[in-house]
Amino acid sequence: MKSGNIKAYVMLIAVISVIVLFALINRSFLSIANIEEVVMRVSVLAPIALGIMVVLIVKGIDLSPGTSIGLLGILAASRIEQGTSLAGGLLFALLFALIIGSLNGILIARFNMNPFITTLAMMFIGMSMEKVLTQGGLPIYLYGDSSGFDRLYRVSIVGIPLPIVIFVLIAAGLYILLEYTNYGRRLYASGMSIRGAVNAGIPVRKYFASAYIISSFLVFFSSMFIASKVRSGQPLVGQSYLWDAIGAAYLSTILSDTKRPNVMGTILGVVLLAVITNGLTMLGLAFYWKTFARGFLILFVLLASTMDSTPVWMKKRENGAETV
Amino acid sequence: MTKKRIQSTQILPIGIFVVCFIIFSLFSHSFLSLYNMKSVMELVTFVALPAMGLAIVMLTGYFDLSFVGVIGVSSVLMIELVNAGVPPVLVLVIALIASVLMEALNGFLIIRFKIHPWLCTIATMLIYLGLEKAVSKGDYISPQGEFFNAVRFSNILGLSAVIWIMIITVLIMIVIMSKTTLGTYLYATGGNREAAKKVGINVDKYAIIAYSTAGVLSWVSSFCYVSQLSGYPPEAAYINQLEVILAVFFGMALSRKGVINIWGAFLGAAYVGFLASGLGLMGVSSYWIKLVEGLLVVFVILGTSMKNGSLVQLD
Repeated sequence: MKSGNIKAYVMLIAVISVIVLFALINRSFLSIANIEEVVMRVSVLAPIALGIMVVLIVKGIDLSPGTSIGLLGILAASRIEQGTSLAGGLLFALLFALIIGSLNGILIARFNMNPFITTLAMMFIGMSMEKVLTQGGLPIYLYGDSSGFDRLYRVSIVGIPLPIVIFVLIAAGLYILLEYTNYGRRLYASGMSIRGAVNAGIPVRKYFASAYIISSFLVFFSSMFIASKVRSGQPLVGQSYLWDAIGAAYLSTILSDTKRPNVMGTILGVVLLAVITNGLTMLGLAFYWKTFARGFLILFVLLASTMDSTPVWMKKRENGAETV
Repeated sequence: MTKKRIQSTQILPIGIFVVCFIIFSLFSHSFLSLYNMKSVMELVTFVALPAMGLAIVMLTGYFDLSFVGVIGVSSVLMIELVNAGVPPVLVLVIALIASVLMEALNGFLIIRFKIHPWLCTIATMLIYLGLEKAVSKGDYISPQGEFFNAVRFSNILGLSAVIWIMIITVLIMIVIMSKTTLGTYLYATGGNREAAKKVGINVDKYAIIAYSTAGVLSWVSSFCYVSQLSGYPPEAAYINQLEVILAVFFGMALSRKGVINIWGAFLGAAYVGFLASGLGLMGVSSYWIKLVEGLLVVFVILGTSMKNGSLVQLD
């Protein structure tokens, strides 16, 4: 079934054709420096998108990254500014990420709240906290501090920048977790049919809650890299990442026949959006065309994936084969 | 059947509102003043109009995030056309057609290509927001001529035109949704799609009608934006997007059966507006207002959902 299905390759085709297009227009698009730039962009956005993808598996939605991206960075930066060590600042932010995730999880899985409105409320609360912590929007700068916070984004492990290492680890870990463990199978089962999963003895509510905690946990990494990149805790940076992440997570569903959110599709979606943003920046187009192009591209990929690409004669043969 | 009895789930949201209202009027002298009430109602307009559009789309069983872009495009289109010397009536007609087409496109894509409403409207939202800024060059633009200023400074029976527009729109929408077959069919489409199909309702047609209605309401709000702000700052509607969504959900919690309806969306918008105004007048820093709103949402919806008994899945 899968091999004869062109739909599954639409994303890949889109990514490749966009890359070829930009490479033809601008030589320096394929330069090492620019490729590294795109890969770094992907590495920072992907954990957020993967987290939202996990929540999509249980048919929920997580909007809280919209502020937690900024909030966690501000929390870490403000702790470090006050003289805490790097590890202390990171742990503090991680603790906060887990609190946000658990709150989402408890409210949604224990008290049956609508995931959309719960995470929206969490986003509102986060927005307020960002403003309070930054006196209404002044970023917390960490220039010249000795903790090494700014090194997070820049340090390399065996020649590979840390964000890329973390991204690969997260993607691989999540892929194994979802595809090859009992946890993953049960999570997909809970998302597909609550009643079925309950009858099979799965503690559905715990699995639902865990999805939100994973999402928040993954946002922590992106948030730290974003803050480290600009050497400061910036308020209200999250919104621009949120729509891209949700878009990429939803795009992953077209990679599978059963509309199942998956790791590979999400990464492809993130790559697609990162390449588009980068390519258009290199073309020197005004910023508003980037918004337009991102939307247009999501729509285009979706339309291409929904079009029935199997020729009629092939369909007949498939049907015939089934009846024989 | 006792019709007017208040359900237990309604007690919490209504109770919070009443308590807040009393506290606000006790601690702030200007909260109950006529001037403040009017300015709050003007603010509520910008939330209530799109919220009604979103409510119609949601009660038909779909979702719309793109309204912020539609309002933006419609607004900048109005401004540019007026500045190009097109007569105001023609400008309004063109903007109306554009808004309805943009929203109907959502409906068409979602139904014809079976795209998830969320994803589809995220994509169209980005497209429309991009278009809006492509026209305005990401800058604040304002209309020349007297037409929009005349609307802004008009005063009918002591209320500004914007408030009248909202009141009239709310009344028209309530009548359409509760007294006409169109409204009944829209509710039926959202209530149980299979059952609606069985009784011969063309559910796809009504989905597109729902989106088009949202388009009309986006057009009305864009008119309010342009006349009240004497122009359109970039992404003005986008800033209010979350409040609009919040208003619809508040409306749901306020309603007797916990369903989405027009009246609820309006009440939800008023709820959000009065709280923000009251907190501001009490001297609460604007930093905290979103926090209070967020906590309120949790408490208000918690009451409804704890009784619900089953997990909520989107889709």
